[in-house]
Amino acid sequence: MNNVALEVKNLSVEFNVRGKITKAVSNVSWHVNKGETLAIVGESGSGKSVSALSILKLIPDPPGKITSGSINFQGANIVESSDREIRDIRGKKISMIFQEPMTSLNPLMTIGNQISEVLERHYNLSKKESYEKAKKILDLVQIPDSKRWLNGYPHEMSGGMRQRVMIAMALVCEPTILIADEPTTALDVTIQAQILDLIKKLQMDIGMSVVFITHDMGVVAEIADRVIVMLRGEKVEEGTVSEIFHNPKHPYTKALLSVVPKLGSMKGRPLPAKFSNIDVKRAEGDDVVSTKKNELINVKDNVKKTDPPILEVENLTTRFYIKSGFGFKKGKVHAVEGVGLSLQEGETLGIVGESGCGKSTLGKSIIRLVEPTSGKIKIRGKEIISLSKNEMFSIRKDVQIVFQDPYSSLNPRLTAGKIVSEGMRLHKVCKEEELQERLIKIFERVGLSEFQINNYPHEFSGGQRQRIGIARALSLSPKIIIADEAVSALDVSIQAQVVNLMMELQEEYGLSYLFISHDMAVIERVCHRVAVMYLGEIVELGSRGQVFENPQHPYTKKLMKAVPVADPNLRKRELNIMTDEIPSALKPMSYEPEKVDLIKIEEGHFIKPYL
Amino acid sequence: MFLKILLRRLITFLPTVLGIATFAFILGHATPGDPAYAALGVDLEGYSGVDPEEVERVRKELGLDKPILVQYFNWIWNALQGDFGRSYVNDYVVMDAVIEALPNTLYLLGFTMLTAIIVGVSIGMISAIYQGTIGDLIARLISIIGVSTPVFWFALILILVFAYTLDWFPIGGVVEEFGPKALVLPVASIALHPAALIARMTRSSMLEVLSHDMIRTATSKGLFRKRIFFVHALRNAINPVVTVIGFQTGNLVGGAVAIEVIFTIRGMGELLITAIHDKDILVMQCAILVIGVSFAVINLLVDMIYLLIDPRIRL
Repeated sequence: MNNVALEVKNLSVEFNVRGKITKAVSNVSWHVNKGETLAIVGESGSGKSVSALSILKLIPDPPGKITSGSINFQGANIVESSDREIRDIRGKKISMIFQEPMTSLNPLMTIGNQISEVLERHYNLSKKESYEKAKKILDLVQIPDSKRWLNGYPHEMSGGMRQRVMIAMALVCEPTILIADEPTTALDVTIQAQILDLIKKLQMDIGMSVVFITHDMGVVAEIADRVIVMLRGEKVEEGTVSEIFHNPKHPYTKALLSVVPKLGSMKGRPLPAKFSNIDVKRAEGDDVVSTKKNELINVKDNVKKTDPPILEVENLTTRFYIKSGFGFKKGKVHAVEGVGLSLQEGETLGIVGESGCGKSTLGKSIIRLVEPTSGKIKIRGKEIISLSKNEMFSIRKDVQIVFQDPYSSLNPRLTAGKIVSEGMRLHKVCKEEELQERLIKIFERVGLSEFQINNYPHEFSGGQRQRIGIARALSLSPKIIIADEAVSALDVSIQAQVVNLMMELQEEYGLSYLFISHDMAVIERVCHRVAVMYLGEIVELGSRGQVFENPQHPYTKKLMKAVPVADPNLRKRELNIMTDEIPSALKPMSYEPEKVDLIKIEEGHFIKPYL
Repeated sequence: MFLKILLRRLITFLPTVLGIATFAFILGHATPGDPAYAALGVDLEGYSGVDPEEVERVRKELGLDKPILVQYFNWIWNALQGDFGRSYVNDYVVMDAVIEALPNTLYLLGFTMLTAIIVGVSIGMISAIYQGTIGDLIARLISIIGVSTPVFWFALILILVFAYTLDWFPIGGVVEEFGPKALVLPVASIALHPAALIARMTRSSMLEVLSHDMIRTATSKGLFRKRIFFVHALRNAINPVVTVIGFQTGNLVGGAVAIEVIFTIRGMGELLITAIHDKDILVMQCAILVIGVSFAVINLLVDMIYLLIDPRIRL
């Protein structure tokens, strides 16, 4: 018997936007075997999602169109199937889960209704029978208290639970093939680990094939049997997971693997390291094809350890109050609670934690973009918490922030030059005549061309926009830069370039970074010291080596274990069937947290005491 | 949960009503001219020919000589008991006139909104589902014409064609005299504008929702288009439409005034216009109060509909 579950042959998909034709997928062939997991991996714009959506004819048409090729499934060609035929396949034989569990579920329908409508559609079951089945599938995806959730709504659930519901909905008809389009990208690592294991477990139970689309090499190593690497609409390499990871043939695959920060790869190195295998000067949009040996390049040791710290934070607390309709406070969110840390000149301190742990609020509180509730902040020895707005003005020049989303954090109505020079004008760092000259210097320093000064943000790529963000921060010659998830929205190859740029700037200007990120591997790569945050508090603080090689707090250990490592040899054997969630930082008004000091376990390594 | 929110809204509703009442009272007393003269049947220019003692007597009789605050509290106190006094000018019980006029207006508004919603939502849905086709184009053309046609002009055209020339419908009057036929032309003329606005809002809101991820999810489940459009998309798209419906119903209370005059319907609008003309301040105050309160009730209803549609606001 034929072992192929689905075969895609010479598929081409085009998008016609106002007469401009873009080839999203060109002439791609692949197949997935029964019971197998195929990963399609690539960076944004590689056509991986489009090729997956084409299988169920879900690309919006117009503007999208399958221009050639065939998709063979159970003896029929899906490309030529009628609307009615494809509707019978969707959700029953081939189903799909998507990236954003927040927006992929209908907010106005109960969970039970959304699952049971699939059964009612495909099996003509009665309402009662389908609800019973829906409850069973919710149990299967480990939704606790499934009976109650049948009548619950998506907004009452956490992101991880919503993705479980999506999976339940996709699997309720026991399909032959599950297409998972970046299903864990929007989730925290501990939740991601749970979802990946859930998919693995259900795959064994149901015996389906999985087509897993992702940009994350770590996830690929964790879940795939075979891998397809895509680049600008074309398949560049195909092989088993160990072939791809251990013996990549195509230069793009090699380059891609070399820019993926691997957790644990920095073992025994005292300093952060730059990526070697990239050419910073190359124009973005081209692809990393350098074949230089993949090695770690140490940065210079510029940390002024003996000087007084440039930033000192003591007992910093930021709370938000939840008000009822009549203006009474009815609860509070302990976003940041009793945090203490310090930063030396030339040092990078990583703040790592999952969503809602307060890491971004901490960053904003430090420069009083969010007003802290209490605590002490000293910048270059000067206490800033009691300063007036006018007095803060001169301090702000020393501390700059780079934000996460390069798309929404730049004003689309201003040119790149205006964005970068605005701060310089405001703080009068130089004479008006010298401004243009300085601007050109800064642009060149961050890898942009002076001819781009008059361009608007939408004319830049994502990585270039983040360079504008860095240029804007840099323009005031700050001492400290707070990088709030500054590289999280970027593709790995672009991420590596931006990380390298940041490290070079640090070497050159002796900058101190507060590097806020959810990505453990990136943190390991760039930081001298690391603070792990959980529910508004620092649970572990120490040098990079201390925290990553000798984690002491259970939460740090859990976090480390959950990170998928881009090496199939390190794949975890046992499945994690935990369903625990990150608790909420929302507390009743009467709640007063116990003040616990971190305890020192070795020189420079502190943890919060735990039970 | 729903009842709790309803109760909370009702509590905030009371101060709103008091505010409207106060506003109505101030408006009534801020109108130029002396109500005592009006009660004697003389208009502003005719002051000189009236016996001042007579005026004084009437003023006392009507309680207009008392301090304004006392008059205010008296009026509020009586209004709370459903007593809005007697008309100074025409000597009838104000409440009776309102009870007679209100149903006519409610009929008119109710049928108008019903028509506008049915027509508007259907046109909007067709437009969105068949986006970019000739049907969409025609639907959009109709709604643009509808939005830009003035009500009074359209009403006159309808009368000219359907009442005067073709004689299908009566030119004016109320349901009691002519049956439901009497409502057709007035309803058609005032429904046009809200229907067009509702259609436009439905179309744009539907198009937005149709591009959401959840519609892709619904499609990937193999659901039929009918279910995707009417169960998944429409319910998510309806919120802004409800907002428009609420606003339009409120606006209609004003728009109905002109229509009631054109079609000689004895409704609240007509009552108010006559009262303003006669300087009949008690009738005027009562009419303003009733119209204002209906506006507030409509808003309350809209809020409650939001709650029914969207579980996320049930907090």
